[in-house]
Parts: sequence; C-alpha cells; structure tokens
Amino acid sequence: MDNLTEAVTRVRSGDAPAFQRIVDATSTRLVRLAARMLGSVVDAEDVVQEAYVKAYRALMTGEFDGRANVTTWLYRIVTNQAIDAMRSRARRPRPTDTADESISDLASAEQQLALTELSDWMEELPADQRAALVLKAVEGLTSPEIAEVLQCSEGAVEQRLVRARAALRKRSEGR
Amino acid sequence: MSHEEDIDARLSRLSAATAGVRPRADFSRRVMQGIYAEPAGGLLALRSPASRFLPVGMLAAALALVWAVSVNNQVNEAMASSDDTELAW
Repeated sequence: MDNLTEAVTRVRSGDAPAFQRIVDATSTRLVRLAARMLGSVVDAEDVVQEAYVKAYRALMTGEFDGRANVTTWLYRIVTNQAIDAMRSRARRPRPTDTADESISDLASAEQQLALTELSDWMEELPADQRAALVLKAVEGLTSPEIAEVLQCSEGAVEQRLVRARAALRKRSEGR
Repeated sequence: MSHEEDIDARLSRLSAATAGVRPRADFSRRVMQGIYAEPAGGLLALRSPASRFLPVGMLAAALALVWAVSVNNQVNEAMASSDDTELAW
C-alpha cells in the first residue's frame, strides 16, 4: 500500500490529520495544474482548496471507495473545479489589475508572464478543450489518462485536442 | 516552421516556463483549517447523495405505520365480531 492510499484509508476511518499527508504530497502538482488552466496562482489556490474539501467530504461519505488511483481522482476534482471557474469567469470577467497584482508575490516574473501568456492564448477556447490541451501538452498526460480525468472516451479527448489545435491555428493565421 | 509546430513549440516552452509554479508556503495550513472546519463524519454522511432519498423514505415509513395501524384495527374488529358469534352460539 503506498503512502497516499494508506493516508486515504486512515482519513476514511476518521483520522482527519492524515489528510495533511495527501495535501503535502499533491498540492504542488494540483496548484500548478489549476494555475496553467486559469492563468493565476491565486485562483488556482482557491480552486484546489475547494477541491480538497470536496475530496475530504467524498472520503467521509464513502463516495470515493479507494479503488481508483488517488492522484487521478484528485486531478479529476481539480480539473472539474477549474472548468467551472473558467465558465463562471467567462460569464463574469475578472478585472485584470487585481489578478496581476495578486500573482506578483507568488510566482517569479517569468512564471507570471508565462501563465498570463498561456491564459490569454487559450482564452477563447471552450473550457473542456482548454482542459484537454493543458493536460496533454503542458502536463504531459497520455490520452487514456486524460479520458479518466475528464471522464470521457479517448475518442472524445482526441476530438477536443483536434478542435483546440484547429482553433489556435486559426487564431494564429488570422494575425 | 508550420503552424502545428508553432503550437507544439509554444506549448512546450510555456510548460517549461511554468514548471516551477507552486502554492504559497501556508497553503497546506489553510487547506487543513478548511478540513477541520468540516462537520464530523456522521453529519457529513447526511450530505451524501443517498440522503436525498431520506424524506421519501420517512414518508414511506409513516404511510406504512398508518397502514399497519389500520390493518390492526380491522383485525381487532373482525376478532371482536367473531367473539360475538361465539357468544350467540
């Protein structure tokens, strides 16, 4: 039994402090994933914090039975939270001044610029296509892994990737 | 360079440039504060999807109780009338 699976078992038996081990082992990867999708470390921290609370509830209520891979399961929760955040931001755009100011103490200037560039570049993509492309080309997941995270078929993943690339190509041709 | 290569090269560059992104030092502490603020396991269980059926289950139990009382009354009446018959003999 690996460390994460053991921590999950302990949390499910009522040992809430054991959840800290899950957070310590996964938070850097999950915040980085969400930041790459949202273009902001602050928004990413909010999304991942909510995702951890959801995960904890799922463990306590038995919704997560512990049979699936813990990391993939957490990736799924964070990705879904990030997709919801992107959709809600599309309806109600956030002032850019606030985002820039808040990132400044969290990431280096280069990282901040890269996150902003990634976010601006993919801004017009639908949230599910953006998620698929980030998971594939930025996070380096395989199509079967992405299908598991997004809970869709590999064919659907490939379709989203093709559409996302086509939209980005069209955008660069238009310039 | 084709547009496809442009896209892949740019994604690869942005992936490398954001590889060092990490949460703030107190992030883990803030998460655990949120976890400790959650209600205890028993109360959380009431929020599970199955709990949506709780009101329906309670209604079904109440109806079953009413039906059981009604059947019990009918049986009692039937027994009382059969006692009367015996007395008439």
